Amino acid sequence: MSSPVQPSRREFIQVGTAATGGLLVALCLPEGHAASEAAAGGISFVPNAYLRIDPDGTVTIRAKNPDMGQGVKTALPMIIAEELEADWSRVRVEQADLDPEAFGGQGSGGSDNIRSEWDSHRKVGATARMVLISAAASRWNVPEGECFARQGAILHRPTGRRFDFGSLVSDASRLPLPQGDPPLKSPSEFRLIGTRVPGVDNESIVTGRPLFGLDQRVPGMLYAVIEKSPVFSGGIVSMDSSAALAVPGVRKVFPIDGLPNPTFRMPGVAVVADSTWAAMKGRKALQVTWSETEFRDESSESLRRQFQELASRPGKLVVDVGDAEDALGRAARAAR
Amino acid sequence: MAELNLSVNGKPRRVDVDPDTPLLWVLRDTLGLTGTKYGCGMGLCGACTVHIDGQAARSCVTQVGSLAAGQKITTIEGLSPAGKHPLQLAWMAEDVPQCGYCQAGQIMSAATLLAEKPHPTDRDIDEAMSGNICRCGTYVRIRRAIHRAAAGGQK
Repeated sequence: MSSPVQPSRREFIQVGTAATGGLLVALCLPEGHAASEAAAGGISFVPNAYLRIDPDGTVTIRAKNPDMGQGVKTALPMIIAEELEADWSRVRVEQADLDPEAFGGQGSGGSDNIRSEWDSHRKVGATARMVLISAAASRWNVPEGECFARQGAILHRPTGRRFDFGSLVSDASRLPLPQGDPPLKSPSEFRLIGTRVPGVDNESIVTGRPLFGLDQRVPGMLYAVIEKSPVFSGGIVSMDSSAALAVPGVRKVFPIDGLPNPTFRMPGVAVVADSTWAAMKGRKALQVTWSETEFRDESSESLRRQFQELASRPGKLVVDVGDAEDALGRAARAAR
Repeated sequence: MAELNLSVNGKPRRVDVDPDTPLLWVLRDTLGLTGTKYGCGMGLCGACTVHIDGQAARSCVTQVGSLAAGQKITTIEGLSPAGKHPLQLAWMAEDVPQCGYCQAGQIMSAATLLAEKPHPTDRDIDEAMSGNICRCGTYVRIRRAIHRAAAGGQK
């Protein structure tokens, strides 16, 4: 492990050798165990390595956050690949495990994944590009400034010589890290970002390969379903699990506590069984008395009435820009 | 529990399950074919669509014991030996999936549509696919992909 640069106060980038003999680039959080392991030196595995380039030229990029259909499993790796100048057809994307200590927050929501990961992901890709350029320059014995990265290779501008990334990773993984922030590409030089790139999981999805949480299988696993209060935030007053336990295949029934904010987790009763169907039948056989809550009479209909009532009241002015009435009056077609 | 003989993706499979078990859970839990998805469990969303003797069927409301011996079950894993069914190729060419959870069911429904109507109109597609719900709202691309598959992969 070479000594870390400080791309920001919050995090630092480290470069090392992968177990495959490839180049590994990790973005370490100062408080995380990745940082302490990495700082111990001589590591061949960094838990939060975002990027690995193998000697055969394959680039593996970890997508840190969950994709819910918004495309971050494709888009976040694109940011790294862009700065690296990777050949996207040689990029493999892996989903990172849940490990907030190593990766920091791993969530999706609020439409901020790209914004919040943009800088750090660009630095990861750019750092890898710089060490590859450095490795190529020293092999050719030329100044780094005469070398540039393009589509999975480092090229020497004056002579047109080239090294594929894969042939450089062994050297690159032993080089000292470039000092300071790596130079980032100008957006006008982007070749991947801004283009339409198909979702990296498309083939798995259309062929039905395991991809989702529900598809995971571990040896000896059981299946569980949870019965919850029919009314928001309701708790368990009493329960009789004897009929549920009598369902063949049901192994155990037990209550689950809610969290102080029931939006995050409501209390419930878990039914654990040998199969999903046995768990579902067990759940149906449960007898649970739920506590009354202030939301007892709430329904889709009652919410709709409240929304309509609120919408009919005068609103609170938050922003006032331009003259809406005037613009509507001059519009060729008004839809209201 | 009862021993049942099924034909799944062209192979005979013997399972020992409660006959009231929905086919969905036999496929997923007993046979490990997790491509078929659980959505609503009530035959309302289409995520669990498979073929039974070539007809689209909702596996979450099909009791496995109700299947006659010799009925042929096809899942997304068995739609094409190498995952190269014209619809699968068209789905990738049109970049249809977003979260992807409903797409196996969408493709299975589309496959029966094309078997019956090799060149469906937009209206045919909307009618045939109305039982398959997509939270991400990929309907426009689904329609394009079905047209593409119907045209032999051409746009």
